[in-house]
Amino acid sequence: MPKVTYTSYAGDTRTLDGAAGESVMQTAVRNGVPGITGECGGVLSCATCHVFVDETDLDRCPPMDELEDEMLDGAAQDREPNSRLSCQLVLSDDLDDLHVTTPEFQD
Amino acid sequence: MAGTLIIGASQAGVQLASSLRELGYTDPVTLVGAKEHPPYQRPPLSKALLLGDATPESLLFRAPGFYPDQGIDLVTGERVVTVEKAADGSGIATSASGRRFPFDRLALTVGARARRLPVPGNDLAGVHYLRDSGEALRLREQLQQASDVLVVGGGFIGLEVAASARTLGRSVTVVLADDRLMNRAVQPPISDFFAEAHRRRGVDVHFGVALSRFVDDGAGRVGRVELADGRTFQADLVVVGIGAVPRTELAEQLGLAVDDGVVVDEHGVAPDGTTVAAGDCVSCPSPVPGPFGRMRFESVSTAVEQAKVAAATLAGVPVPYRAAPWFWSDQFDLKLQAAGLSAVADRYVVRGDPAAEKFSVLYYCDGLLVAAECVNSPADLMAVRTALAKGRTVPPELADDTSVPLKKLMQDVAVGAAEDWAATPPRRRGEILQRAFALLQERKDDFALVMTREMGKPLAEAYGEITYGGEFLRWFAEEAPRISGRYGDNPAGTGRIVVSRRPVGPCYLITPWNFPLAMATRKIAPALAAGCTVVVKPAELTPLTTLLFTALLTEAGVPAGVVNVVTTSEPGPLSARLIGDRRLRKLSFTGSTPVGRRLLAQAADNVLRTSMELGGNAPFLVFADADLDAAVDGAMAAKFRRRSSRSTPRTRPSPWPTTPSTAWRATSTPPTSPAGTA
Repeated sequence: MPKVTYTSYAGDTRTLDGAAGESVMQTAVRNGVPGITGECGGVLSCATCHVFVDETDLDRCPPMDELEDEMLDGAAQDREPNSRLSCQLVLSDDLDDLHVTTPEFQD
Repeated sequence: MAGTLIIGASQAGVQLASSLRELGYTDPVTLVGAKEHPPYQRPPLSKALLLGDATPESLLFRAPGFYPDQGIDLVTGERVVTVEKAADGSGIATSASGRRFPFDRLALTVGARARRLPVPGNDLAGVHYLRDSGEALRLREQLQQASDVLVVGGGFIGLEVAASARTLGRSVTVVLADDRLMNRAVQPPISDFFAEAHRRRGVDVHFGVALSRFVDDGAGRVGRVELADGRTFQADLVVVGIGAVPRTELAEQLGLAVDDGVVVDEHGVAPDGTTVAAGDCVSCPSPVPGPFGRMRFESVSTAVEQAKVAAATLAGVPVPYRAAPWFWSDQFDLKLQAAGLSAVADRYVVRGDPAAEKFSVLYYCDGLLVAAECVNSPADLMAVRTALAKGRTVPPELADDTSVPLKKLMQDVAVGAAEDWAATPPRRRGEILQRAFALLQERKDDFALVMTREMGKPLAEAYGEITYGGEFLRWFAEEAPRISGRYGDNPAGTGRIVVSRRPVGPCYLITPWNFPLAMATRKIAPALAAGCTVVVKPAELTPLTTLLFTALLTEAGVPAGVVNVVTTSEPGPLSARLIGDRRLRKLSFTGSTPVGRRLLAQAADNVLRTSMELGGNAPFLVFADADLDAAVDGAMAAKFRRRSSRSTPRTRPSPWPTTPSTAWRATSTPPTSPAGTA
C-alpha cells in the first residue's frame, strides 16, 4: 500500500496507508486529515486541496496540467514552486512514500 | 444524554457531523441516512460514474473508520418517517423500520428529491431519474445498450447526462420547456454559449418544448416521445432532469414553517428556535447583500457552508451564513464555474474569447462586481471568489483585459488597500512621509534632471521645485500624528459635540504639467497622512516625474496599492470612469477652470468631496500707493517667468495658473516662489 505522510502547518505529522488509484486528497479527506478540504471531490474546481510537496518528491509527481496550474494561482494561500493540488496526485506503486505539507488555510 | 441527531447523511449531514467535532462538540452525534451505503458524493453521478471513471466506492466521503474515530454514530439504511419534539428541542425520531432515535437537538439535512414528470408513460422501462448512486448505476448499464437518448430538462444534471451519453457515442437530444439552458443558475450569455457548445458536439437541443407522452415500443419500454405540438422523437432511453423538490415532510410534522424548503434564519435555525437545518432542503436568507428574498440552493458549496453554520450554532459559537455561493458543472471538456448571485446584475463584461471556449462573464450591480460565470477559466473564478469573500471588486472598464490576471486587477485597486492603510498608525504614516522627504533630498539631482528634460523648465527652477515640493512631505509627515478632532458644547449647554476625523477613502488626484513634482507631493502627502489611498493621474505630457516619485514612495515604505499612478494620453474618458466609480471618495484637481467645471459636474453624481485649484484670468492689482517700478518688475516677472522654458508653444499670455494671491504679493516684492502655486 502506498504511504503518504502529511505534515500540518503547525508541524504535526501523520502517515497513512493509501490505495493505489486514490489521490493524496482522497486519502486525507477520508481519514480526516485536517488541512485538506477537497470540496469539489477532485475535479479541479475548488483548489481546497492545496499542498506543498517535499522537494525530494517533486520529480516523481505527474506533470501539472493547465487547469491545475490556473487553479493554484487562485489558492487561498499563495502558491510556492512546490505547490500542487493533491487531488491530482494519484497514488501508485511508483508514487509511494510521498511527503506533503498542508497550508495554513484552504479557503 | 442523547446529543445531536442529524437526519440525512449526504453532503450537508456529513459536513455538519464533522464540523461539530472540529468545533469541540463533545455530546453524542448520530447521523442517520436512508441509503444502505455510507455517505458518498453526488456530483460525479452524472459524469465520472456514468463514464465508468468512478465507482460507488470511490465516491465515499469518508473511510469507514472515520466515523467511529470521530465519535460519530453513523446509521445507514434507516429512513426516518416520524419525529416528535418538545419545547426544549429534545425529542424522538422513528424510522420506517421502527427504530427510535432520541435527541437533545435535531438537525435536518434531508435534501431534495427529483421532481417527477407528470405525463403518460412516465412509468415505462427506460425512463430514468438521477439522484442517487443506485439510479446512476442503472442508468450507466442502460447507456451501454441505448442508441437514442432523450434528456428532458436543461439544467445541470440533464446537460451533464447529455454530455456523458454523447461522449459514450450515443445519439442525444435535449428537450426543455424553458427558452434557455440552466435558466435558474446562470445568465443568458452562458446559456447561449452552452447551447451552441452542445450542438457543436452533436447534441440536438430543443427549447420551449412541452411533452405530451412517452410511447411504448411494444415491449413495455419507451420507444419514442410525443410532443404537444405533434412532433415525435425516437428515444429508447429517457433521462428526466427537471429539478428537485425539497424534502419538507419532517419539518411539516414538527410544525415548522416551510416555504420551498425548511425556513431557517442566518444561523440555520428554524423558527422553533432549536431545530437547525442545512443543504438542499432549506430556504434561507440571502448570504450576500442584495434585493433578494429567501433562497434555496442546490450545490455542494452551499450545503457545506450551511452545515458549518448549523454546526456552529449547535456548538454554541454561532456565526452567520455569509459565504457567496459557488458551483461548478463539467460538460464535455467544458468546465463551468460560477460564483455569486448573477441574477441581480445590471451589467456584464465578457472577459476572454467565447469562440476559443475559454472566457468568463463578470456581472456587476451598481458598478460593483457581484458574480462571475467562467468557462475553462478557473483562475478568474478563484479571483472572483476571493474578491466576493473580501469585499473587493474589479472596475468593469478593466475587467476585459486578459493580459492582466484578474487577481492582479483586484489587488491593485486603491480600494483594496484602503482599509489596511487607514488602520496603519498615524505615527507610522508620518515616518514613511519623513523617509520620503529624506530620500527626495538625497535624489534631488535625479529629480531635477528628469523634470527639466520632461517639461523643460530650467534646472535651477527644477531644484527650486524640489525644495518647495519636498516641504509638503515634511509638513504632512509632522501633521499625521496630530489629525485630531475637536469637541464643543451644544448651545443649550446640556451636551457635548465631538468631531473626530477619519480617512475618507480612495482619492483621485489630477496634477498639472507645470509643476509635476510639487503638485503631486502637495496632493499625495496630505492624503497619505490622513490614511487615504490615492490614484494619481499626472498630466498627459509629464508622467515621468510622477512615476519617479511614486517609486520613491514605495522605497520609503508606502505599501502596494496605496499610491497608484494612471497615465494616459486621453484623460477625459479615464477621469470620467474613475469619478463615476462609486468607491471613490474624493477628487482633487489643479488645472483649468473649464476642465474643473466639467469634473465638478461629474463629481456631483456621487456627491464626491472635491478640492479644486483652478486657473483662469489672474488679476494683477496695483494700488494707488504702490511703488510703480517695483510693480512693473513684479508684473514682468509674473508674466514672463519660464516663458522660454515651455515645452509646448502656448498662446496663453500669462504663466498658468496664476492666482490672485500671487498677484498681491507681486505688488510688494518679486515672487520668491513659482507663480501660481503659493
